[in-house]
Parts: sequence; structure tokens; C-alpha cells
Amino acid sequence: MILALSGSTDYFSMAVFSPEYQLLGEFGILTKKLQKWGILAVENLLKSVEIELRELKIIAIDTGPGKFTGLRIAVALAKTLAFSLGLPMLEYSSLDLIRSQIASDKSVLVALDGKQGRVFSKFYDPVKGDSEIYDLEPELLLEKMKIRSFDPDYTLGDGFLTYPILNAIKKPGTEHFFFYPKAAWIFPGVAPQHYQRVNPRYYRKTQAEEAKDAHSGN
Amino acid sequence: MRILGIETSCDETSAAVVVDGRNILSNVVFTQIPFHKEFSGVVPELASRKHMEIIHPVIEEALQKAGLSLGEIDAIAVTQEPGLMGSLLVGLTVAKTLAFTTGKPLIPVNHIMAHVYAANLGESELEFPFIGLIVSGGHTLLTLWESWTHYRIVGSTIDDAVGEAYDKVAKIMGLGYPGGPEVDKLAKKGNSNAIDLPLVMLNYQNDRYNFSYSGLKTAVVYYLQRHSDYQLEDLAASFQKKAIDILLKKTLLLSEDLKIKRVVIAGGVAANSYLREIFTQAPLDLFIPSLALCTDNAAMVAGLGYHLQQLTQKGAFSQDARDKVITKEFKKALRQDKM
Repeated sequence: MILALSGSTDYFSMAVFSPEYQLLGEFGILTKKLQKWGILAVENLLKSVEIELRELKIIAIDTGPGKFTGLRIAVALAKTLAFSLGLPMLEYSSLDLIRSQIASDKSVLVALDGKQGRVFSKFYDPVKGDSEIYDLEPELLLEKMKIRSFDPDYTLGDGFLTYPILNAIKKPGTEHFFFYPKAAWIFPGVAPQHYQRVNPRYYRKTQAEEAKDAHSGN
Repeated sequence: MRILGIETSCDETSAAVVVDGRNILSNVVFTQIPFHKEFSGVVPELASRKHMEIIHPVIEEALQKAGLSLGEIDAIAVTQEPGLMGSLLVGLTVAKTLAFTTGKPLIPVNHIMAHVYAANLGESELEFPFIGLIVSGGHTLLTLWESWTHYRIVGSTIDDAVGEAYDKVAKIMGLGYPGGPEVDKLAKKGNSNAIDLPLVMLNYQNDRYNFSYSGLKTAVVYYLQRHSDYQLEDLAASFQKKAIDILLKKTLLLSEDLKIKRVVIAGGVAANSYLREIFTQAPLDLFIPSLALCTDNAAMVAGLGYHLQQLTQKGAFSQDARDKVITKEFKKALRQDKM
């Protein structure tokens, strides 16, 4: 069985899958309640699908990018499950989880609210290839799209809820509800790895590091 | 009883295994100081990130050194308060998850009280009652202990903690981080009577056992602004003398009032050489943890956890991290003698 967790946004989700990636059950709480209720939520999910801890064979985790605290608690929880149960881990990007909800032949822009006036984003382009992950202000993201001549079929992620300026690129008839990554959206084809290699992917330096870089002209 | 302790309240990631509250089988401490040094202080977000990276290997090493597997541990003790919220959350989440997967009790521990307990990890076992003086970057407290589960805060700083004053003064003097050891090192070469800095007594009745460090810190700032012909060593020594002398005066005051001579000094500032020197000469039965146990470590958490486990319910997974125990309201009540 696979237990998957995602805590990179305001919504913490968990899901249990069969070894064949058949979804057996899912559950979610607000990420701000994760510290208090996270373990109880996992316990309840396992109970509801009648699966015991010893039946878990893999722990899957969304490693971001996203909101730092939720991301860190979810990854700490997932890594400790893997550490104490001796299980391998599957690592997913929060942006890839959202993108997985749209057909692979469509071009997609995923933008997650990264706070501090910025979004974490990635261009999924079936023709030219996918971009790296960007941490940009919405205006700069639009500029980058122009430079790359990227005109996505779909725009996903809660960045579009937070920053209305981004909605200018939304195409009519592409309404959806794919704003937050969900643990239930993990997909096959990811290689298992040792828990020690799995860590949150922040894609942003701390404010102190950024201030230091700015001071030294980097 | 074999307890695994986990400590992540600030910038040390630590795990330890302690048997029956006294016998340290392992105590692994990973210090983040090199990462924070370039910022002249702890960067909370950076500290949380480092804890996250290193906590599992640190726990693994602590178990390995103790010669035990996770399944052979009887309980998990963890620092719940006070500290940097992001850092506390990492340790608490890891501890809760370990307690969940092993089915062992989770014991939340107060970091400050664990520092006092560090004095009980020496050769002889402490007897009650005793006075606990807690001196660190976050706290300056005078406490009265009747048992490991019954203590009372008698005095506190009304502004900066003594360790905080050290760090701030070190920064304005252009010294490195952490400031305490740097000032201490420099002070050894200086004349502590060379510069006249204030000894902030707080003589008011309600402040009998309280401390204040903001005035002393400001006096150093003014001195640096108004003078150019001074020796940095003399300034360090003069500051250190006033910062530490007040700790001794207030501790002696409480000792005389309560007729209790047994005193434990705990926290990072307990490693200060001048503090150790003058307290050792005072008419007190003094207990100071070894230098290795003065700084943040998980052995003290596991040790105190042994005494708290009887108060702990199995599977208390809804414990929240708390960044402060000494709130503004608490300080106000303390000054009005309502505690």
C-alpha cells in the first residue's frame, strides 16, 4: 500500500493507494491544523480504509514548492514514517501534481501562491519542453511567458486566485477547480528513494539570505 | 526506562538516549552556529530548514551510539516549548510520528526546565528544594524547585535576557556570533573596573527578584558613541562584570530570604567563565551542569522526560508547539506579585 501526503498549500491532503495506484481513500484538513491534528488524521484515514501501518510499503510526499511551514511539517511527518517503518519514498513536485489533472498533450501554466508577492510557477509545454520552476512576481512571470512565446491552454493553481493580473492569460472555456495539489493525484513512474534524500524543495532563499545577496550585489 | 530525547528549539539539532533519567547512553548535538554566523544571529527560517535536513541522521546516530533500535525505546521526550516556532515544529512533528509508529508514549518537555535538569545528569543526584537560576539567550529566571514536577518562577527579566544582552553588545562592539563566548574571551584580557557602567538592581519591592538588561545594553551603546579612547577589552570586562554581578546579587537575596543554599545554574550563559568563578566563591551549594550540557542538548530533555512520563497520557498527539512561556501578561503579573 502507498500512503501519500501533500502539505505545500493551505490544504493538507492524504491518500492511500493500492500497489497498482488504485485510490482506496483520501482525507484532508487545513494545513494550519496540521501540527495539531496531522497524526490523528493519518491514523483515522488508515482506520477508515482498514489498513494497518505494517501494510504500508511506500510513503509518497509532495516536496513543494509551496508554503514553507506546511511543507516542512508534512515532509517531516512523511520522512519520519519512512524512517521508522523502514520504507522507501516517492517524491513529487506540487506543481507536477496539479499539472497531472490535465491531458498531457495540452500546454499548462501552473502558478502557486508563494507569498511575499511572488508565485512559484512552471510552464508545461508538450512541444518545446517543460521549463524549470520559477519564483517570480506575477508581472515578471507574464514577461517571461512573452519572451518564451508561451501561450498555455490551461492555467492552474491558487496563484490565479491570489493575483488577478494573471487571469488575463486565462482562456475562455477552461474553468476548473485545480487550485491546490492533492495527495490523491500522485501518479506511477516515479523512482523510489531513501528517505534521507527527500527534503522540502523551497526554491527560495530565506529573507536573510536574500537581503545579504542584495547587499553584496549578487 | 529508556527514553529517546529530541531537541530542536533553536539552532542545535539534538537527539539522546537516557536510561532512568540519569544514565546517558548517547547525546548527539549538531550545531548550526556556522550557518548562522554570517548573519550575526540565528535566522529562524534557516534554522528550521537545517533541523529538517539533519534531524533523522541525528536520531539514527543517537540510537546507534546507544546500541538500541527504535523498538527498544520506551518513550519519546521532546521539547515542546519555548523556542523558535518553526524549529520546535520540526522536532515535535518527528517525535509525534515516532510515538505513533512505535506505539510509545510522547512526553512534551519545557526546554527551560530541562536546562535545570541538566545539573542532575552529573555524578551526584540533586536534592530538593533548590533555587534554579536559568540564564540563556531567551531567558533570565529565578525559580524555586520542590520536585521535578513542581517548580515556581520567582523572578524574571523585565526586558532583555542576559544572553540576549551579550549578543547585542557583542554585535555593537563588532565581535562575532555567538556573542557570549566572544565577550567572555575578550573580557579576560580587560580591566572590569575601567569603565563605569550601571548595575541595574530594580530595588522596588515587586521587582525584588527581577532583572533588567536593557539599561546596561544602552549604556554600552552610549559609551561607544561618546568615547573613542577606550580598550575594547576593558569595555567587555566592565559589561560582563555588571551583567553577571547582578545575577549573583539577586540569587543571594533569594537564597537568604528562603534560607535555601542549594542553587542550580543552567542555560547557555552558565558556560561563562566569570559567572562560574564568582558563583563558586559565593556562600552557596552550587550545581552547574558540565560545559557540554550547558548548551542545548537532548539528554536534558530525555532526563527530565523520565520524571514527567507519569503525568503523560499515551498517544497525546494533539500537542502544539509553543514559542513562549514567559508572556507579557506573565511578566506584568510577576511584577505585581500576583503569581
